[in-house]
Amino acid sequence: MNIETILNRIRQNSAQTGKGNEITESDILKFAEDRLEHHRVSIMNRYLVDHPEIAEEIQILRRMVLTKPEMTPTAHLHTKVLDTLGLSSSGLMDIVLKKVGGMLKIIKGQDHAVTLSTQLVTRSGGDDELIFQSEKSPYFILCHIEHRDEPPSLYFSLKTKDNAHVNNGRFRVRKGERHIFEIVTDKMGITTPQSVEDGNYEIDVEVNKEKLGTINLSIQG
Amino acid sequence: MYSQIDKITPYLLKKVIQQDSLAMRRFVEISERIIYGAIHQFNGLDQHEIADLFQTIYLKLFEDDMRRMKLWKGDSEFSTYLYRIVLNLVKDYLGSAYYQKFTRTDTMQDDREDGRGSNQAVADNPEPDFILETIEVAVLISQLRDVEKTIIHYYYFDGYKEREIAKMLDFPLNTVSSIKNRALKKMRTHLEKDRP
Repeated sequence: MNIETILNRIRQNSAQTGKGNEITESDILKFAEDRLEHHRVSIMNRYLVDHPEIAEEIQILRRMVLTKPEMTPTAHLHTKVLDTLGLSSSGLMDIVLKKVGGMLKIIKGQDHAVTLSTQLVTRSGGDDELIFQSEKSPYFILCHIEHRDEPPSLYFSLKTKDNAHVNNGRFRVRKGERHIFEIVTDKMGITTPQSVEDGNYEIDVEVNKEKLGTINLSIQG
Repeated sequence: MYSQIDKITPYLLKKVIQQDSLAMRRFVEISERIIYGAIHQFNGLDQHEIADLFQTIYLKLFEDDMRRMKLWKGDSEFSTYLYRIVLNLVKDYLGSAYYQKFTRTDTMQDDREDGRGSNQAVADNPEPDFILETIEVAVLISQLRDVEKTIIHYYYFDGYKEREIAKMLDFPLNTVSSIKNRALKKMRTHLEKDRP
């Protein structure tokens, strides 16, 4: 780089603009990206000569824009930030089911599946029902999917570790941001069943206005 | 639903500003590599300081009803805006030493600690960067002695001739000429020293 060439270029630009033009934060960001409008570049050049401390900042910014430094934080730090921001994972269960020959096959969520011998709260308890359970102290949350009909039905039950029924547990079923339906546990700790079409559902679980978490349920045709 | 989004889009930002927790979580997942990478551009920070700065940036981004998120006008890349926030915070933290501690390299080494995956950052533009050169010159001028600075300003930016400057400063013409040449030589030497 020839110093005098650059100085002359700045002089030529400056001659067209003069002093006294305000530089905005937006100008600085655009300049760093080489997207500042031509007439503003002249003003910026002159401004930088008069404000070297800003020039230092833009130099660093410009280098970051060019090199795009990226680095993955440790899992511990990632989790710590989410905790600090109150955004820690609220996933209670991830269940993925696929319809195969009139049956529902568990693709994901096997670790939450409840065998018949341990089913404590069911409506039918038969082979036509899949039950998944998650624990969020002091509650057990059970997700029941009956598939003897098409489309299958979904209901929930809620109990404490002492096996006491929990009423007024709210299950808000949505697809993304779209509210689908809400069902509430009765005094037996069981909700009414609702038919569910194929799709990806997120179910927010709440008891006494306290959010316990979200169940992710996917039913694939 | 946000898992499909792999970069910071206006839609994602809108949902973050509305404090949609899933969107905020996705925003953290996408932006953390940019922010963490930017902090690592500064030398002399230990792991605790880096972790503190990293968390502080997110707190600042989300504080005051998402004020900083709302300040982004959309006429630059959001990543550039994030770099600017990182830079300001590091500057506050390190004081005037921040500039000396910035790593002037065009590539970064991957030094991730837990194998969560990381991309090598590479310079996009191998061509001479005229903007950077202009900025470098501005910084170099600031490091000159006052009299050198004055003469460079008068000559190059205000368009005075050496003879006129000599008259204004009440210096012999030869003195103005030699101060100007000495200043240029200093800047040239600094530049050559900084370049690989």
